Amino acid sequence: MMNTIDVHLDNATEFFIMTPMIKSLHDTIKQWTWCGLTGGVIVGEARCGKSIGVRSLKESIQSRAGEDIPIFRISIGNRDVKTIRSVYLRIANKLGFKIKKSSTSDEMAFLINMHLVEAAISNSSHQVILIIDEAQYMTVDQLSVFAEIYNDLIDAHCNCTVFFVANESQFEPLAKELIKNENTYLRERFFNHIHAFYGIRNQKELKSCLKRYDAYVLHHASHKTATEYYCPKLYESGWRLSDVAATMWSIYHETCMKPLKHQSWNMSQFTRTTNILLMDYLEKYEIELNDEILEGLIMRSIEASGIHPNIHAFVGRHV
Amino acid sequence: MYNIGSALKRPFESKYNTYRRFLVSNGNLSISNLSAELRIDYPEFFQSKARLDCMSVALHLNTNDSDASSPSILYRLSKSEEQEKIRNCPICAEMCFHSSLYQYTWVTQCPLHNVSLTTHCPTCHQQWPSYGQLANRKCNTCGRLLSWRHLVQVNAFDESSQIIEKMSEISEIIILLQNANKVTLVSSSENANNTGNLVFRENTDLFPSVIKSLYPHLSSHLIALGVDIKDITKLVIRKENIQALGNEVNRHQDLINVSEKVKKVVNKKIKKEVLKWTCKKLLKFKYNNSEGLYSCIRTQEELLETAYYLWLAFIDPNKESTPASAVLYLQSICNGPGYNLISAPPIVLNILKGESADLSSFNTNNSSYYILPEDVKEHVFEIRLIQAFLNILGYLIYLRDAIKHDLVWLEFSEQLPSRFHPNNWNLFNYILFPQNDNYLLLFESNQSKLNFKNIGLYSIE
Repeated sequence: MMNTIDVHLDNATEFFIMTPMIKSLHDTIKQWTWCGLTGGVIVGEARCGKSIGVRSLKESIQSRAGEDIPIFRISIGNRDVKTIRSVYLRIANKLGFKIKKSSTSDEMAFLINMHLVEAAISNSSHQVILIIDEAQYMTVDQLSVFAEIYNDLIDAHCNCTVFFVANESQFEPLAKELIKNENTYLRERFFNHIHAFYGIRNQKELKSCLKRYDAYVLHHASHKTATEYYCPKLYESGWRLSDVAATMWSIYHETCMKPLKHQSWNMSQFTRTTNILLMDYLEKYEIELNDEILEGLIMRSIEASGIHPNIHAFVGRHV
Repeated sequence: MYNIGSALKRPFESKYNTYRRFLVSNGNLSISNLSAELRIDYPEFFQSKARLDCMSVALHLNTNDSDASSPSILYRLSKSEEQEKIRNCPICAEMCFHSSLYQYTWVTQCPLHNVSLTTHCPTCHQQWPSYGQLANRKCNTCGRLLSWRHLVQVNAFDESSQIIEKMSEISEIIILLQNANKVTLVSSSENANNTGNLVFRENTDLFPSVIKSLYPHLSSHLIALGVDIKDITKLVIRKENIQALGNEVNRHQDLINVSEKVKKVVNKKIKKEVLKWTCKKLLKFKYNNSEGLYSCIRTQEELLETAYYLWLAFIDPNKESTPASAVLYLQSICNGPGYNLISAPPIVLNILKGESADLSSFNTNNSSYYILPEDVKEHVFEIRLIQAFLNILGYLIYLRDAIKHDLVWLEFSEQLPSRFHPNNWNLFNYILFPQNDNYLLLFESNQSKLNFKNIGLYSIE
């Protein structure tokens, strides 16, 4: 049966649901772009879905005039030597240029600028968006690359908007650096606006996410949704996955959120939990499903998803 | 990945520039890599052609040149452009711009910067690089590796400045030229002689005035571009428009008060020539089967000279012909049977009358007079004179056939060579054009085997 579906829930590169949080992120980016902001930061806990959120922006967003504003995403890696050249090299490679080993920062900057200007002039507002993921790995010096790109594009009568995506916990040192006066040129351009990205913070948001599973089509030919596909009898009886939102939230809140002091249920843990629940447990227990069984299944799904950090227990045993 | 160079694209640019901006916008990326990537994107162009041409073609396709700002009229094949010596404006070169317009020899000045076009780069003192040289030229003005700072400093990205306005202006002019239909400006490399079109060339006094009078908009726009009409080397008039142009010429009715003035001008011009030239030269008419036309090429001076002799034969009492001949001619034109066939120019009639030429008092069917600019009048007069000659000749033929018993005619006809028997040909439908340094006469005829050599002027010595 599994071979016949078009999308596998456990394939993280394929599976995507538009959550209220991602919708909110898109709205913010659109709003920033429409307002002509030069940049902004999206911060959130690790694995809460920020990268998936910005990746789901597709290749462009629409301007006020309905034109496509091109988006380029560059993910920065953590390196032991953090040079300005490495940022240019990363961007140039990400854009697809075959850079010579001997290329200087200036030469790469030229190519990058030209590419961005070419993209920008495709719309009448001459805008282009850069999204820099994992920005917490960058130094202030490296951030100046984007200030230079921004300035160069202004010289070419184009507007470059740079959005940085960073992990909240690791971003703090960089943020402290940016507060300093000498970094005003960076702060004013790119870091004055912050969007806090969260996982699921309440039952309502959870229900909304579960509803996406109910509507998520796994098999295009038959239009079967994830819920219908894995729990056909329950689905036929009118049951929906979103119906378990209250129970699920209650269990998560009591067993994980409070004790682990989570601000939100991050999306990777949530999808893992839900996928296990749907694909492994509900499929097997759908005939005899009642409240008690459901609670048990949810608890086992949460445990299996790895929310409880075993590494903590491991470390604790060996201290 | 490669940059197309659209950031540096400007309306009216040449393909040479399309290629250059492609190279410039890709900085120091290797040419072989770029070519390989283009080969993937445009495999259809990389089968048999040279790499260079293919890149150029691929770029051409990829830059959407169908818009009005890049008129196709100026897009030549890259090959021919490559063979030409590049002419460019030093300032345009710095901002990575070149227009096909600059390849026209009659354009000597950059319309954007009002500086002279050159064949050499003022920075490296080498000739502007050809297609093949572009990739390896290391020069801040004409080379491939231009810095971002440099491009910004020379306003290469400045679309809001007068560059675009000027370019749009030029585009409008080119569109105007295209719409003019009758006129095709050709680049110096183009050989239009084998197309059957008429080719106007420089070095004729008449040429600028013809352009001015026939195409007032064209000339004013070219002047606005800094082009001196006198410097235009060649103007092609399409075959299908020859007749239309002929009508245009005939429509010019001059209001000049000529009598004495005309004589002075003609005598002044011709007296010198008469010394140099004799009428022994034959008017050699050649029949063109495909055109159905007889043509004869003579210099302006020769025609004037011939006309002058003929004219003298009619009106100069010192010559064998008498004034009575002229009177007869005049009467025939106004009242005789040939009236409907001969369109004698009013100016000739006045000359023949020997009185002040006030055309308003002259009774003619053609009431649409045309006031010409002062500097055109003299040239138009020359046309008129030659037309007069042709009309006179035509009328003589008519007289010979119709009024053979006329004594005056017989006297005159005796001076014509015995071999001159242009039966059944219609001399009245002729068109006169300058060609090179000469004039081209075209006669329509239904018969292709008529022998017009030794047409007869030989005998009027």
